[in-house]
Amino acid sequence: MKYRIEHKTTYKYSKDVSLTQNHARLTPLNLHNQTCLHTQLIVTPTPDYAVKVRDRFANIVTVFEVPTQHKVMEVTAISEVEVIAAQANDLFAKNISWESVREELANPFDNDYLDALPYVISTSLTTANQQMVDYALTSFTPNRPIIEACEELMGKIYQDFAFDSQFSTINTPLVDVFKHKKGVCQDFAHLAIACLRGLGLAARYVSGYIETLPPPGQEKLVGADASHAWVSLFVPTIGWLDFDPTNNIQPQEQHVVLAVGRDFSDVTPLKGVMFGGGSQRLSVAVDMTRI
Amino acid sequence: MNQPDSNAAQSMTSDNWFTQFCELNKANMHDNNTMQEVLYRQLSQLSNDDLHARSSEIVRLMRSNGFIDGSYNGQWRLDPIPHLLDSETWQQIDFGLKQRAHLLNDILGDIVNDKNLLLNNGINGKQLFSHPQYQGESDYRQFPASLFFFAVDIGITEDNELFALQDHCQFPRGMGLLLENRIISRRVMSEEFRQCGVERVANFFQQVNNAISAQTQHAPDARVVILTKGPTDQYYSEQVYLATYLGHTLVKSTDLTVRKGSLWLKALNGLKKVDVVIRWIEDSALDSLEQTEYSIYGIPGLLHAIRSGNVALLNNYGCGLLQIPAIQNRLSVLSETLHGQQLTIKQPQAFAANEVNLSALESLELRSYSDPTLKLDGATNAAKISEIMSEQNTENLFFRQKVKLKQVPFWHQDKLVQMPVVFRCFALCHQGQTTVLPSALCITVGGKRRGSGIQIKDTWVQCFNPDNISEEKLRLPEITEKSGDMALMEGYIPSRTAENLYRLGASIERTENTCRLLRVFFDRYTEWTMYPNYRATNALEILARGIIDQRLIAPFNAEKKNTKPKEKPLSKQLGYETITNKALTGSLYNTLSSVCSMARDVRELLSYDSQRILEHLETEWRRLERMHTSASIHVMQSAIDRIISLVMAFRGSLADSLSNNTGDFMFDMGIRCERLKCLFGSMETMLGEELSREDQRYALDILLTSQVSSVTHRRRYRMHQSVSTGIELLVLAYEYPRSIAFQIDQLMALNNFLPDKPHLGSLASIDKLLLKFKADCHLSDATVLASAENGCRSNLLSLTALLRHDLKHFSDLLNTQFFTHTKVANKRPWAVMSESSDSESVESENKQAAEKE
Repeated sequence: MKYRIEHKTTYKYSKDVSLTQNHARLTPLNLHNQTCLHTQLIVTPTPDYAVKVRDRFANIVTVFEVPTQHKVMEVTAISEVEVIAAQANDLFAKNISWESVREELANPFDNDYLDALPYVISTSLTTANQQMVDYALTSFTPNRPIIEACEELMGKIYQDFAFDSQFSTINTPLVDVFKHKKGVCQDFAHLAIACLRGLGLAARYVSGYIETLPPPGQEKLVGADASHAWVSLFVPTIGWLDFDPTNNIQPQEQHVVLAVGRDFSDVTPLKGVMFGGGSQRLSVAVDMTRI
Repeated sequence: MNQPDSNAAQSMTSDNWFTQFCELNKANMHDNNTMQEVLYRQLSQLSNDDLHARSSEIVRLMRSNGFIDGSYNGQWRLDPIPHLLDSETWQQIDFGLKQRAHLLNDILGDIVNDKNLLLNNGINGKQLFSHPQYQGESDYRQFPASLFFFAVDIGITEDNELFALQDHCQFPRGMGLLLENRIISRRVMSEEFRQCGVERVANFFQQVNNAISAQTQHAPDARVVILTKGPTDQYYSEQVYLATYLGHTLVKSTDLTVRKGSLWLKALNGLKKVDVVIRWIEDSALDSLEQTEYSIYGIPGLLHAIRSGNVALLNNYGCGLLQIPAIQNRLSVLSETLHGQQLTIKQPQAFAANEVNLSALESLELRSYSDPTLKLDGATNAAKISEIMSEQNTENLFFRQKVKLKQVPFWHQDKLVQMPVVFRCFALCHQGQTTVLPSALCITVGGKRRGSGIQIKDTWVQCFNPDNISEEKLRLPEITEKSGDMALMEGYIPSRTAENLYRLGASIERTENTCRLLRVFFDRYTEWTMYPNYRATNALEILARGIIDQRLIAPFNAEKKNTKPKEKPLSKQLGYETITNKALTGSLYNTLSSVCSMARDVRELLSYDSQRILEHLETEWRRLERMHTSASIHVMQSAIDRIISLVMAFRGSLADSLSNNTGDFMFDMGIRCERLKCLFGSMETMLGEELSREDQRYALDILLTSQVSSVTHRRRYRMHQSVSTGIELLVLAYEYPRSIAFQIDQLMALNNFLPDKPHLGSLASIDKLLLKFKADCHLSDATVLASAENGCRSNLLSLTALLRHDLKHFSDLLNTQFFTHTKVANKRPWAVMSESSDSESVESENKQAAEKE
């Protein structure tokens, strides 16, 4: 499946900004089932410096600076991406018990495990309390295959939690999300990661896009899509296996990966600092269309 | 680490201090130690009074160098008796530090690149990654980290075993303090120092500078800066001292900016590329853009600039990893497996938490692999430890062996007191060689004793080859083909320094004005109380109301307050309040406080003599705080006299030591601007209202006296003295140093020292403004200004209002065009999944970060 994705971020400031320095993670990754065919980042006012670097998680970061005095900054990322359905899971991997993965992560003997180890450590956005661990343990019963248990956990989150875009912000503590059983994709991803790390497993945060379809008989609205978040679980022999707790599916052809990290703070699509600016307003519009 | 036990600490009376010293120091005494014999022979000749005098002299010298100041009163206390390290112990330390540097660098290289130690259980990865000092978002491979200089806190036991209690791998905290101690102790104990053959430390610092130069061979005129958190850092004074000693520019993060992948210093005349940063900031707070945790000390984009190879950081990013317990606890084992050697400076033993018998914790302390704040002494916190062990995952916890430290005698409150100490030793790693600084910072441990600060001693190491002393004297700095003093050639001063000098000038002028005003007030008030029929009562009341309304003192309000005037504004209390009231912006206490604090901010530019005067000013400032409400007028007048003398001396001393290239003109600009504000306030208050002929004469006299212009006015205008002549002298006499016209002319002259201003075929905005300022003043006429209508000199008031406006505009232009460091990077809200967001949460985040740090 091929997609054209346009992701526009607009900052409006009450006072002039003399300089901003930014890190944009808006370039889709090249992965085993995903190829970025074309990508372009358009910034107004025009930056006087822009370079692409790889971060610690192999994400593509565009470092750019805008030295022109401005009150509005627009960053538009336009990408064309081809995604193919992931192959069926390795049969061997399907039978690995989650406890054995936990043990091997505790004593990594090769680089795959060692590279996965940082994703076992909880972060400030993914710290599980005992209730969350107990919640996960109802799916991760003794000796259960890790993939099967994870699928069930995702299903539970999907069933038990309501999607409510008005409930949370980036600063809403995970315990509140867990208590009120509602949130957005970002919260569900953080919750799933916290549960998995609470068990000693390695899980990472994935940011990207999901193709949404309009209700039958209606046209798709421009800018109605949004960036999306899901999780990825480390499974020996396979590597990283994606799960989308918001939709209770394993991502196939409808998910496009932008960046991965320990939590949202590692994959922020656009972060930066500014000199001046006063109060500000941010708006984001995403369009994802098949081509 | 042992806690100092004040009950157990042995103390003795001051009689025969040397006998007691020998008794207490028995464990540290060695036979056949020439240095010790010489020192003890010298010390034995000192009386208690001698020691007391030396102690006081040390306090004075440390205060004058800023190591003891108003904010950290009594923070560091240098002992008048040095500590001797015998050659055998020193050889062990020297060897141990070199061994340790080699080991630490090998470990760092491995965990950043090959990771063999993490794969073969040499180091537990989970324990390493879960420590907050491990920056999970950073790819350490991109920063070729190796130690440049580092420090180790070494504990020595009664059995003379050496233990490494803490490594300082990010920056050598305390190195400047050691240098300062040495210079002071060499001065105070010059006789002993000369005869003992003590190893010099100067050569080490020269090697540090040479090693820094080697880092910048690609840049012939490399710019090196020392990055500090600023005066809030407990070690700020040593950073100032080191910057001065090594000859590098001291900067805060707001002085630097990253543009196009390079690091730049915000100088008064634009951006200047920085080649090397010697940082005194932790790994976790270096880059407020790239790093997850926002830090107000961070420089946005710094890590990108380092990664791009455009600036070198010393020590490089990543060295902080070596301080993480997951590595520290394995050093003994790793030394044996990697190098086949036992550590000469041992590591305290660490035990997994679940392997320890909780009923025998006296010799242990509980620590955590993920929480650096957790340190519980097993002897005093057994219950708390049991509680934690039952609640937390014990995998994250470990017990560390406590080290019973050797105690050494300190001279404290005129008696000898035994205290446990550690020795902080320093080393430089360069081109595969490790050089150890031949001294140590001997520090008491366990936090501050009440009222005693942290006690420190200079540590003397015997020179192994006394002949080297003369050789070292000859080892001068390496001369490279440089084109001269770059700072002087380019005329650059950091924008922050420029602003600090400007504000220092303003504060000094403000203090002087307040003093002069108070002098006049007390003088006239005393006269008034002596002669009840005193005819100048009305004029004196105008003066008093001017002070109460803060029109004659800062902030020099332009408008009269509409509040009901006091029945009797004239009182001694008014003078007392103007001197001591902390809530009054323009009180003498506050203005002097501002002088001291601004001077501390530019300490690196002050000469030794300026610092001594500053020290006296600080003493006067502290006296003001203690001044009692019942203080007599005479006492207050004496205080004012002393302060004004010191302020004048400080001002003269600064003018003598600063050059225009180091910002003298900014200092002078501050003075001129403040004097203008004072003149506006004085003219408006004392002459704005038309009074009876006699009252007017007294009001004019008060004005002229407070402006030190009374004699000049009398001599110049003799029989023709009037309001008009007063205005002519204080407003329009362009050749008279205390007139408004003169100040404006001076500002125009000083403006020429400001760097090139952007302009396109016409005058720059600041030049235009000064021209207008001058015209507004000079085109006025004294007679017109002195004329009154309906009891008011509206022409004069209109002129001062116009000039006030011009001055404010000038200050604003200076601020926006030249004080670029004041523009601080704010974190922008992150793009989130939902469609819109506003800044409120981010402003609160920024505030929280500032409060946290």
